[in-house]
Amino acid sequence: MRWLFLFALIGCAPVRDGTTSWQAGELEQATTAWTSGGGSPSAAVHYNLGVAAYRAEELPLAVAHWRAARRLKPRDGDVVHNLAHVRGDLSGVSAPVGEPLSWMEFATPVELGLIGIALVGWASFGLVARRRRRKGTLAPWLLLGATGAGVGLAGVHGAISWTRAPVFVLQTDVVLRDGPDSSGQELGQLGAGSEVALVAAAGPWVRVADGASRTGWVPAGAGLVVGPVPAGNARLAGLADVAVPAEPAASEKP
Amino acid sequence: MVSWLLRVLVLCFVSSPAWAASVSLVVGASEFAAGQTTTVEVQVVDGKPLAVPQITVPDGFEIEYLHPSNMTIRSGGRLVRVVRYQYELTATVEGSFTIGPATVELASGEDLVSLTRSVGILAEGDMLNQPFDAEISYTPSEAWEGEVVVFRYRLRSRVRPARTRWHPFDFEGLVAPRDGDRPRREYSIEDATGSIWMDETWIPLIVTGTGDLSMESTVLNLFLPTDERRDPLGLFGRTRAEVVMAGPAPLVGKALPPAPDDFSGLVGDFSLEGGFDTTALSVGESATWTLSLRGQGALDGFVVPKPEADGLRVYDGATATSAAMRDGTYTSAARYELSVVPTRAGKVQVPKLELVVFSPSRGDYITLETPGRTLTVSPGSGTAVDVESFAPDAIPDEPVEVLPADIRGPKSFGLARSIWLGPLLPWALLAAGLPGLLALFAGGLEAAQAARERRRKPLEAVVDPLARLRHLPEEREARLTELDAAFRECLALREGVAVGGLDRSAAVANLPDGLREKVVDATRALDRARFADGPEDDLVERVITLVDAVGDAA
Repeated sequence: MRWLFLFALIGCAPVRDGTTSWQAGELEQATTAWTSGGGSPSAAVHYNLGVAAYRAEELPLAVAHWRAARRLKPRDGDVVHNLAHVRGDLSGVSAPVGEPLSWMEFATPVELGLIGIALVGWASFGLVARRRRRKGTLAPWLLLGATGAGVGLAGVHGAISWTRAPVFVLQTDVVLRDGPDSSGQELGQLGAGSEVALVAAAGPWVRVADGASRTGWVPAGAGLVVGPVPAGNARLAGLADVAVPAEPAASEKP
Repeated sequence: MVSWLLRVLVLCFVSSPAWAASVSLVVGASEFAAGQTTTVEVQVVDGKPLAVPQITVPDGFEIEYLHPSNMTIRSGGRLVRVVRYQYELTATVEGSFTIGPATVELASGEDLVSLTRSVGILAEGDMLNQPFDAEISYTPSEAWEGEVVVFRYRLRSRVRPARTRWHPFDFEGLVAPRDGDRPRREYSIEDATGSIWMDETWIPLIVTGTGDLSMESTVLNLFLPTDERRDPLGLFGRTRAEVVMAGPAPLVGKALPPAPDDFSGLVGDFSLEGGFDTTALSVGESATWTLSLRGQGALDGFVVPKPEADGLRVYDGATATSAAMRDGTYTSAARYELSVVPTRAGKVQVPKLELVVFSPSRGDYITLETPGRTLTVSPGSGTAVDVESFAPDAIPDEPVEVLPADIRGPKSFGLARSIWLGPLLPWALLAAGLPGLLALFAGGLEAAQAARERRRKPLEAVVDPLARLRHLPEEREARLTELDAAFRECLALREGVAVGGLDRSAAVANLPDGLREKVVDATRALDRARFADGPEDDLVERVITLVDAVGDAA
């Protein structure tokens, strides 16, 4: 237990140090401390980076970080508050791809999976105890186990469904074209702060899909920041390298 | 005891005198045609009416009282009684009219008067000449940049639809205001040919572009119920889909004329009021200057300018904004509290507050103002009037950036790295369920073993060929049949299979040498006796001997 507490203290140190620097007005040190944890930034780090970006008047980047934080912690009141606050400033920004579903505000896929595991474990314990006692009815335990398995598999499915690389558009009015070429037909524009999904890449162009079911090509150097890239997904991780990362590529999920 | 106390408390709440009775007037349809009828309702909240409320209606309308109804709701943590009076309102002439107010006399002797409602009456027969139609519109159809327009989409149908789905609207050059809802109303109106189902939604939008902002058309998917049923019990009905086109909704955005330097950015028809909670105070104390701004327009992004004057400082205080759609009009209201702190004793003049806003109804910039006030400031107990800064000298004297007002600051607690448990979930689920699965599997194996045992035991317990031979029938044919059956049973017992599944020739072939030949001979003799009237001789003794020998060999 003491080791667990110690690990937690060490794991929280960058966030605490960064915020201390922030409160002292040392913004660069704060950002450096927040990102010093390496690996996949947590929801707290994304949230704090969003606040820093907002203070630097980089609204699209702030929204990108807050949306990334919301994917990790859909029920975080601060994230929801700040996103709601800037909603009015995001004119022309389409709805994000894979907006967190409403049920995730009650339980994230991982939480759902843990609930399923608990139910299955309970049913499993009951079945073993029943076998040892050589008496008792089977049906309630089977029902509990089936329910737990259903909930757990739903959580697993939800987690797998998030296996995608979101991309946040940082520049204003990025043109969406029907081919990987600047002479391609214009399909529309992506406003700064739009969240799109990375579909494919061809040279210096990437194919993305936005929340309005539009799919098209944009220049990879058009100011895209790659959000969480699923760990172990080599195809998407490779595609992510094509885009211009404004932040270190992460590998995390909600 | 507890439940008894709760009942007493509830009774006390219900029977308590009214705290603030109110009356409201609700007209079913804001627009219908002459010759049609809509519903009107008067709601009396937290009051005991003495008689049916009277509603003032202009010429050209007929109103008929229908019935009252009562209900109790929970509001603000207490039970509130609501009395509702239903009426039918029939229009006879076209035009724009005001319905109301409704007046109700309460048992307390108080007379309550409601607000009025506006309705538009179309020409007779102008309403709906087809099964359904859809309509979209902007009000007004010409708007200034920054003005709030109301987009309305409406479905009228002779049949109440099972569901509707409007295609997403593309509001180019328009954005939604920060405050305000999107009210939706579903109601029906009656005419000579029956009911018309109405479904209306209003969306307030701020004009941000200029030029033609019209919405050419949009599509409504309408699902109407049919008489067909999807299930044998007739519980679930089928629907048929209809595609309805609506539009166009014309809108022209007009650029604002050149703005004066002190333009506040507000576009709308607003009114401004102000007041102080006190005008006599001491140095260092504060007076609250409350400003109320209300009107038809959006308050997004508006910040109250803080007047500057000698001898006082003005600080931002609490702010409360709200907005609502009423009678198809977007109305917003804000209450700003400024803290005014005098820094010297004597008479301190708070200057008037001026706001330059653009009035769409006048098409020009106007100045709203609320008068200032002279504060009488006494020296107070202290003499410290220098309130330039409370900060220590160590902080550099350079402009300090502040966070935008409503953004929450950074977190100081939380893990720096995300711990993603997703890949572990399937394995953890499997690990949690494995003991149970093993228990189930072991139980299944045991059950199968037991079933096998049960199948084997009757064979051994019941089948006894020698017992069959001890009581042979007198009749020849039956006796010979019993001998054959005894042979079959002893062979099946030796093979460990049921009699029905015995392969007799294979079983005989498995017998030891010597015994096999004797069995074959005896079987042939038995077949001759049974089917060719052969001699029986000592067949019974031979079979008994052989059955016994086969049993020993097993």
